Amino acid sequence: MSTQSHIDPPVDPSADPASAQEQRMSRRSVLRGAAVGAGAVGLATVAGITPALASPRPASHASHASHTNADTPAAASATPIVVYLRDAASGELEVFAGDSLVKLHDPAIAARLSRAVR
Amino acid sequence: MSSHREAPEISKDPVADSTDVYAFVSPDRPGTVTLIANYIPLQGPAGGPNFYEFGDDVLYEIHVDNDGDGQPDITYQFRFRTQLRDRDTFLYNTGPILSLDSPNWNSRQFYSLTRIRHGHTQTLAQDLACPPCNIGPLSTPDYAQLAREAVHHLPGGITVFAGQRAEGFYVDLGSIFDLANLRPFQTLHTQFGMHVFSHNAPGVNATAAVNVHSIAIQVPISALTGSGPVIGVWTSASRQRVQLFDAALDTNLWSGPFHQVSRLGNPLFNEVLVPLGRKDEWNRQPPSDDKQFASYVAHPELAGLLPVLYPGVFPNLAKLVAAGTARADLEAILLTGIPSGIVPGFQNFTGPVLADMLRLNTTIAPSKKPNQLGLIGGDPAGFPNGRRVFDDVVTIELRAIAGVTFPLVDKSFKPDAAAGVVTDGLTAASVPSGYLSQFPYLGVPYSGYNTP
Repeated sequence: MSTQSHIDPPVDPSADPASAQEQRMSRRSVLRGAAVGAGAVGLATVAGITPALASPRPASHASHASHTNADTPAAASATPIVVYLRDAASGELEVFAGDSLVKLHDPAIAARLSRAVR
Repeated sequence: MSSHREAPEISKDPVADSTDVYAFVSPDRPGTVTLIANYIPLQGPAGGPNFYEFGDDVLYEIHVDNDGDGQPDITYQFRFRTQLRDRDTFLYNTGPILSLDSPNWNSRQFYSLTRIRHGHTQTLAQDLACPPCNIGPLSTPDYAQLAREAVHHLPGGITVFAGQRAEGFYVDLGSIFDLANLRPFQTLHTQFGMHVFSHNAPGVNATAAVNVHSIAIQVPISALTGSGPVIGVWTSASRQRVQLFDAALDTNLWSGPFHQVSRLGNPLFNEVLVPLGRKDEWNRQPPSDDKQFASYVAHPELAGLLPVLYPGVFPNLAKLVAAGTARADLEAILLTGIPSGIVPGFQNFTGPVLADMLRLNTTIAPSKKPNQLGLIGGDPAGFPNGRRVFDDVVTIELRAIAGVTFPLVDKSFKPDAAAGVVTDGLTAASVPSGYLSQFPYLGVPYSGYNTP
């Protein structure tokens, strides 16, 4: 169904060098804008930067490929990246950018985000 | 209501709340099918200065399944964009709106139309203009003309409209939600021993003076059908997963994939059949997963309530319910379509997949003398063969649940006499605006001035 959310599998940074690089970029990008929001696990947003997390591994959202940022209200302020620390204990993060979602598993960044809100 | 405010979460999100879906062979262009999805329920026509608009942040879709798997083969997507001409006035319009490009009209909406067919996405049109809301004789002096200007003809024989319309669905909400106290039969109701009513009364149309926002598209039949003539139709509304207010930018941000927050196929499905605790969940599911809700169709709560609320009126229905008999008739009507051999000369079967879709056999020609009771009224061009704007779906479904359609699957069953006459007491004539004989078929919206 075209309206279903399509989610990439969690990224394993040890799988290949490119992924490791992606993971490092992800960590820098996230931490640069880490303003942790409401909720037990929190939200972090980075507005107006290149979606480094999402672009190398876009979510499989082919059915919605035509309505990317140009169609969304967020377009006025470029593409926001929103990071949801879904499970601080396991390091599960969900990274939203444009109309895509990437899942990451990174206990280190999860721990840093958690420390930041204490 | 058909699906107005039918689930807890979506009742708080009106711009994404689907209220009705219609699908029928166009009576004035029988080579085409008209699909209509209504949103934003129960609009008080005078509701300014911020009159009703589609959500710029909502993805509206009308889906067509033409191979019976409960998944879309063709999807029409509608995305809206609001344009404010003058930020320094509080007014929706600063003078009469005489055309869609009137400089007096401050807050305008435009939309894009995209088609997804078998995974291939194509933008069919962009920057199509919506009409304004119907304000009153000074602001929108010739509303019908404005609406006609908002009917757009596209290549491929497609016609499209998106904007305000008069509510065409009619229902006596006050009586139905007052413990199913149907006014024409209220003296037969238990009244819980309070003896409130000593006379029966005609129905009252609770939606007689409200508007909705319609998304309507007319498409050649050949562009919708697959190997067979039957299509399944539903609508959905989706929002991006993340919404966030950026205080520095002083604006809302949206991000992430779209997820479905509302859907609608057959009228009253989620409203009447699905229990309160699962309505939000149902709204998030695709029709292809409706097997998990099939028990609510096979054993509808309302079928058990009718004999209790109207003692002695539905004895045969009471026995059917007490026996725990699955309602195969309702499963066919709502979840699979009616196979051939059940109703002579008619079928709208899509296969064994249980999916709530409005099923339309596109080979059934429009009726010259339509019966608003559709198939149970002897008119196979009406509900549940698709749904026309004037079909009396409340009465049809009340009677079906009361047992009038069970003989389709068990000829030994004799419906109660009341099952054939039960109604909320309304007809299409209860809709003051009436209906149009041409696209988009729903009536001119009620104006704020005349319907304060």
